[in-house]
Amino acid sequence: MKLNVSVEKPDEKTRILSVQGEIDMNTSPELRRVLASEQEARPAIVIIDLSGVEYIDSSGIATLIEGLQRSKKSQTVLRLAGLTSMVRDVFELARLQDVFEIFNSRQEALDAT
Amino acid sequence: MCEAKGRARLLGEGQSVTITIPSQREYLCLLRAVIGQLGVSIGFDEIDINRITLAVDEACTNVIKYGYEGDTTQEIQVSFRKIPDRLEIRIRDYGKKPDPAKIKPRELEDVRPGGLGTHFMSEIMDRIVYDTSHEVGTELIMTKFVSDAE
Repeated sequence: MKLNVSVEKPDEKTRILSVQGEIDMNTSPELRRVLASEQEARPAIVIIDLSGVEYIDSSGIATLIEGLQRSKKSQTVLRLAGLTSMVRDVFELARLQDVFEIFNSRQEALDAT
Repeated sequence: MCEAKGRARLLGEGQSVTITIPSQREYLCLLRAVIGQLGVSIGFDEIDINRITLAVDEACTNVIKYGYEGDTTQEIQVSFRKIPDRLEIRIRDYGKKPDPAKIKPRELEDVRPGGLGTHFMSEIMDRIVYDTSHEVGTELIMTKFVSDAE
């Protein structure tokens, strides 16, 4: 199973990462690479749209936690949007639903700015 | 992939199915597909199937990372057995044995990358036993009760 990560830049301060596929031990390095690369430019807001993610494991969760830590360090914002039921359940198992800013859709995540 | 729903059961009482995969992370998605089909056939709901899949995936990831220390030439045997009120999953490897006393889920208040796999396994499964009595390797036995299954 492949993971596709595409990046949109609606304006100078915002990046939207659209993730599609399964995030596991095999594919999480790709998400880590793209996310770290986009955060390097310190955009004010990074939104990760997870509506196309059918599966996530602990390595995927670890990748998102790393991204959150980078955003806090650089005083920028990381938001997650469109969690599928599987992904939301894993966040709840990890008790992370209140640690991240989570929105129902990328539009809601954008509107919250 | 065969479609189990609405057809003959794939895993009847007392039957077992064993899948052997190479110790390569690329094969984990194949294993996940198998668990999905077996889970439907046994009667687990979608949430339980996703969770059991996650637990097995995390266990195999640990074998690849720690048991075999990244050696991709080894194999992992994953057996599924339906007993009247439970699904028993055995994960057999021939790598480095873990110290069961040191396998503990981490504190969740400590938000950091890593260490969540063991937490997921213990949160999802009803019973977890590490059998290190084999001459070589480890057999992890995970049990999930299926009270709502047909």
